[in-house]
Amino acid sequence: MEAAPDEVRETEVCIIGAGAAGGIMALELARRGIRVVVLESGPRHDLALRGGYSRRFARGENPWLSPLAGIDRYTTGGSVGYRLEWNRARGVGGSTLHWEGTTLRLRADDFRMRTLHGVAEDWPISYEEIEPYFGRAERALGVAGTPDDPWASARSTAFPLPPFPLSFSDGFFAGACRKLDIALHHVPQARNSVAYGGRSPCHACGTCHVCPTGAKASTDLTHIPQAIATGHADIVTEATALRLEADGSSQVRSVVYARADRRERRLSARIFVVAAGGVETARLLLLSASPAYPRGLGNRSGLIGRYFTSHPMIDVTGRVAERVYPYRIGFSTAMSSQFAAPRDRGRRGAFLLEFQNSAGPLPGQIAPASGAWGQALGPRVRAEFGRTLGIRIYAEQLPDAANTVTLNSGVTDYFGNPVPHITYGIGAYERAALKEAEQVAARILATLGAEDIRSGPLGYASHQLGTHRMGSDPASSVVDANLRAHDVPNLYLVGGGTFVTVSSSPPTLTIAALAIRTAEHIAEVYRGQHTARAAPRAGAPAALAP
Amino acid sequence: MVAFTAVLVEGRELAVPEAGYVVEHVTDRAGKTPGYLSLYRKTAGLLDRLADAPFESLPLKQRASLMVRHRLTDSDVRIREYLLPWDREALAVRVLAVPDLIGGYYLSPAGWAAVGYEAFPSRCGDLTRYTSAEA
Repeated sequence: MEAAPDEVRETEVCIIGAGAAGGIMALELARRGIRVVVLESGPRHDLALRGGYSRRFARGENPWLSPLAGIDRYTTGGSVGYRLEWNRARGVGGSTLHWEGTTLRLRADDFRMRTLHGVAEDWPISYEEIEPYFGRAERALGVAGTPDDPWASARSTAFPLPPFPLSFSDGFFAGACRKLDIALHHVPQARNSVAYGGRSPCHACGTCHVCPTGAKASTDLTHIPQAIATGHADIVTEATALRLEADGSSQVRSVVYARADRRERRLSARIFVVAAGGVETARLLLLSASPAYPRGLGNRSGLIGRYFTSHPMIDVTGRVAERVYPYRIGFSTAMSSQFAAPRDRGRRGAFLLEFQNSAGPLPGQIAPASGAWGQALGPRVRAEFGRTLGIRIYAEQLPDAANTVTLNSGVTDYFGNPVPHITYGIGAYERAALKEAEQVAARILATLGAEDIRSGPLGYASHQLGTHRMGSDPASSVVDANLRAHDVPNLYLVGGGTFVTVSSSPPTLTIAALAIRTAEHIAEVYRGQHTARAAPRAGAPAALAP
Repeated sequence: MVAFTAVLVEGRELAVPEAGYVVEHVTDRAGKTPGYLSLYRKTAGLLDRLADAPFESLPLKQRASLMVRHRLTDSDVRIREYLLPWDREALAVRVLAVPDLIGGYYLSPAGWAAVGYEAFPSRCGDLTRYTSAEA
């Protein structure tokens, strides 16, 4: 149920953040009978309001911005200023409110970068271990796809929904790719190609940053309502976690949170799960410094906030003679993983090519730039519109200790806490991948006879990764393979921050799979604890001992 | 603003829904973007002054010729024009109001209709439409 914020003072598991990881964990734990309270900093954005949100988005507004002034404040540094405004959302559903819905699995190679390529670190788990959870995540989110990616690692389950057909403009790209021996394939989507999970099929509204129909999976629709329906989960909205309080035995005892009135409340739990995204999870732990943890809770390694990683992006566009009819859906239907497949990734990263269904200027951009007016304007816009093809490049980034999320004590947020300071840049490894990718994209466009082929500015994806990475060694990682903090046994950190390396694939399906796996682990530990209480046995986790 | 925008974007009087898109854009922009309410007021004041009457009371042809005479349809401003001390209001209209009004109108359903789209971002419709050329 939706709980009034002051009603709940104690629970079994407290989850901070109701996004991709937090929403999924809430359901996975609650369905096993474990009492869960989810604290969500943002509001619930009712589906009924999203038609209006969608129209605002089409006018260039971001409807997901927080209503509390200053709550999303942050500062940036580094050679590439990483901005958060359009790259996260606060509210039930979190980043799944605005994500594109692309649900690629990592490949087996992606987990073994040190072993195979001599760079970065290996993950403490393998593709084979996580594979069943990928399948469960695909079913839970409702992924539409078909196994036509020649470089995808083996899968044990079919996609639950049929794929979205390729678009009209994909036909152009397919022809060019055939000539160049580049394989083009479907993009797996957590978006309903047919009705699924009680949600409607996609209606091609074209504003996937805000899906007004609920066809795109977001945990406020796919998981949180089910979690609440179990009777074991409460969600407290507009409740921002300010810090976690640990006791002398290395256990977190309570979370201090506040609402718009800034009054502090406390919630106690046996287990805490922080699922607030790669930036805010790191920030919350740094804000939770205490005499026992002077560098931040769970931060004896000093790695919380380090290795902030994303996916550098560049769009390459070209102008073609034919009309290609863009902007009729808000997502891409074709891509190529050919350059993310097995290859030497020691000196330059993998990259994906996404063939865009929406590229080039809009009528509202062409018209004022044209210099025309009156009766001449309409024909000018018609002649210009819909003749641009675009390829988006997502490149792999290596973790770099210089890229960080730290606290900026000179600037405070709505609650008076230091804001996150993001230092972000890319190096030779990423630039080499981008350069190669731009050449490949330009070759495809040239094969199509495109003119005015150009690369856009360097950008980055809305993926905030690596800030509390997993590993076996507490000296070089923050959480273990079950996402439990090495230093704080009743604290779990989930989400993109746990990624050891990031491949070139969007992270959400992996975040979802890991969340399911961690929930299963917590349930086992919790059951073990109850058994231990009834009949103490060796091996019951000390962290959860009564 | 509707009478001014009609000349700029179509060169004809706007149909009721089209005029509604202009009103929606102006209301939205004035309410949300600092400075635009003042800009629109200045624009309306300038137009009335140049017309020596309420601008919207003039027939379309007269409005258009007045705008051409005072170069209000031309948002391409040369650097030296910024240095001149006179016509500052007209300059603001040309540089700020004209592109804003044209852009706002073409961002609306009217702009998508101009390129032959019945459905466009934020208007839900037929999923299969994207797989073929627009009819």
